[in-house]
Amino acid sequence: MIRLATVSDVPAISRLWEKLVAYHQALGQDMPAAVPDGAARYGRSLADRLDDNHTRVLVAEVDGQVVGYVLGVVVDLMPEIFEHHAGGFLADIFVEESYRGRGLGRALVRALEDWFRHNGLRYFEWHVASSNKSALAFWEAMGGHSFMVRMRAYIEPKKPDGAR
Amino acid sequence: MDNVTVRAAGSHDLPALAALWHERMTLLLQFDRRFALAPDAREQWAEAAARWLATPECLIVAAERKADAALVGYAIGWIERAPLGLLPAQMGCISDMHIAAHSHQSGLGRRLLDSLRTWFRQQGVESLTIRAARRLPVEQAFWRALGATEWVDVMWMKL
Repeated sequence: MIRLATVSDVPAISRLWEKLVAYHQALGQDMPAAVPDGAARYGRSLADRLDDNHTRVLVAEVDGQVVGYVLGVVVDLMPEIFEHHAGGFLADIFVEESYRGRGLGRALVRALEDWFRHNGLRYFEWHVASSNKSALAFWEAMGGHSFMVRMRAYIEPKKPDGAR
Repeated sequence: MDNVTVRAAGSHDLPALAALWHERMTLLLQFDRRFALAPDAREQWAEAAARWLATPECLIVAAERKADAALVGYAIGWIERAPLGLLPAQMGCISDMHIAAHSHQSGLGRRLLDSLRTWFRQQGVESLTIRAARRLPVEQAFWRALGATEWVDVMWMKL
């Protein structure tokens, strides 16, 4: 079941966020790590935004347990410069590993799309780690297109392991 | 390229910067309709850039030809805060870089990058991200040659 998140879901969503960060960390060291109290901070921010008209948090519930979530926001991506109108941004999505392959991710995205449409939006954007090949395949199957790539570099060249 | 000076941009540069930005967007538009511009996009961009010039988290550097003081390139750097709960707390971001078509292959891109790097270093930033168009492989190749690697795809979908 896909439903709107409530304050009582925040602890479960915070745990999922921790797993989302850990999942990305496993993809490569260049992916962001969580600060020590990151999940608590994320949870507090989420709780504050649940009533915000420009934010939507949906959860996937199976047998009374929250096993996935998606966070979307209405954003202003410089629409005065581009032809495009205001868009949506899918900030976070995660489904517990043992519940993947059941269409929960797709259902979360489709439900968020409905909300974006209801808000008069014509498109939405999101970020995917370039090393996350399964996620890229998922999004392409959903109809997504990559139009920009964020590349990463270091201010000082990285020294080889063991070098001083 | 000793006939060009790389310096911080000022408000007097805005019309020339907007023209360079428009040249870049015209190029991007040939590859991706996503970059379709509003009719008054150039003026709107100049207004936005005027605000960025007054923002401590932003630096716009310009490449000026000594002979006639014409701008032949620019780059925009930002200090970006990490999303809530994530590290590193801040990163540098190069959101735009463009060299006028007739000034390519002159080492200007590297000089603009070096100028931003110096500023990033002063801000205590250790790593940076660069926004490059997915359909402009030459742009990506430039950054790759300078040590950058693909990190995050920015995707979109029509509703």
